[in-house]
Amino acid sequence: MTYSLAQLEAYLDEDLDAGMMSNIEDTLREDTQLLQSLSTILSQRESGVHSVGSVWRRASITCPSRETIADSLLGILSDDHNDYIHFHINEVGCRLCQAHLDDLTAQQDVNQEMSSSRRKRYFESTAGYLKK
Amino acid sequence: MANQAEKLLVQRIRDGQEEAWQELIRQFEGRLFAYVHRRIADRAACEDIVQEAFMGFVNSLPNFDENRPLESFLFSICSNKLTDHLRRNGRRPAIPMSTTEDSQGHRSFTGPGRAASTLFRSQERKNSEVAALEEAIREQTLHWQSTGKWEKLKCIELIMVCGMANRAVADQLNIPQTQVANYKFEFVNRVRDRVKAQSVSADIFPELTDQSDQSDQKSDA
Repeated sequence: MTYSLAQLEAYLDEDLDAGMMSNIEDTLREDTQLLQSLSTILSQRESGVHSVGSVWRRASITCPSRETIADSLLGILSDDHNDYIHFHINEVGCRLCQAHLDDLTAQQDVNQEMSSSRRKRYFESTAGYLKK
Repeated sequence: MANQAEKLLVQRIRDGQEEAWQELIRQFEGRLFAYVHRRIADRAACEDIVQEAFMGFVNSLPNFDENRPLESFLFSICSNKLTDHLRRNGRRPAIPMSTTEDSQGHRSFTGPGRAASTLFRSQERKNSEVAALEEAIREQTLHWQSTGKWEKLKCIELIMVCGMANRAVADQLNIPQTQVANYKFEFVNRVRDRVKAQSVSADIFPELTDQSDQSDQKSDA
């Protein structure tokens, strides 16, 4: 399988759709050419080379806001706008927007108790490091 | 750019207010957990990674630029912690940087298709180039969103963000390949002009100088 430069850049940023991330990881175990390609991209980045796709992705330029994703879940956007949100999340595979969608969906039907015990644990294990 | 509420929240955390820290965790833990959980099925491992991300944020507070959006900063820390976890577990191999040496022993990081003029610019210069490109893309995509040009937006996102070829984009969106070439031509020209208007050379962005699709485009763009 061949991957586009944009996909490999997204892989390096842990921004690619999870299924594609796993595919690349599997391929990397046997394909030294792919490792070399990723290595070259990293080196180019170090030298300051920019691609349109990486700038677009890193700045979340077309990511809908969390509120818009929530509106999409509620079904209150126009059909065209809603269709675009689905495209961005599912076809482009935007990881950040997928995370928002998963979280919002979970909030709708999940067990708030589990979530609140998680928050409590994060807080208790880190609050001691705040400035006193 | 961070909003005022975020700046205030960060300031309160810097002051050591525990309720502010609790508020930040409440706001962001769910989305960070979901981001990690797409890659790791084990919920306990996901929770540990998110916890490490919050710890990383606390440790970086003294140097955190409060003008930076909080969410993107938290996601970037979380992404690094996730990558570390995957490397430790052998899922994600470490990628070395490739270097080459010329006959004088100078090391460079050039690769195929990249002009030497793109290299070795100051960090400040590189940041301003990225900002100019980001602004140009944002203006164009916002214009398409506000005018309901969703097909154009989808087309260019598939080409630029996913790296798909024109033919594959045409198949996916069920539009003629010439239409794809027209959209791309329009996008590249407008973004290039906006970048140039900010006194940045478009030559440093290879995709804005690649004219290979122009033979496909029609005059009705």
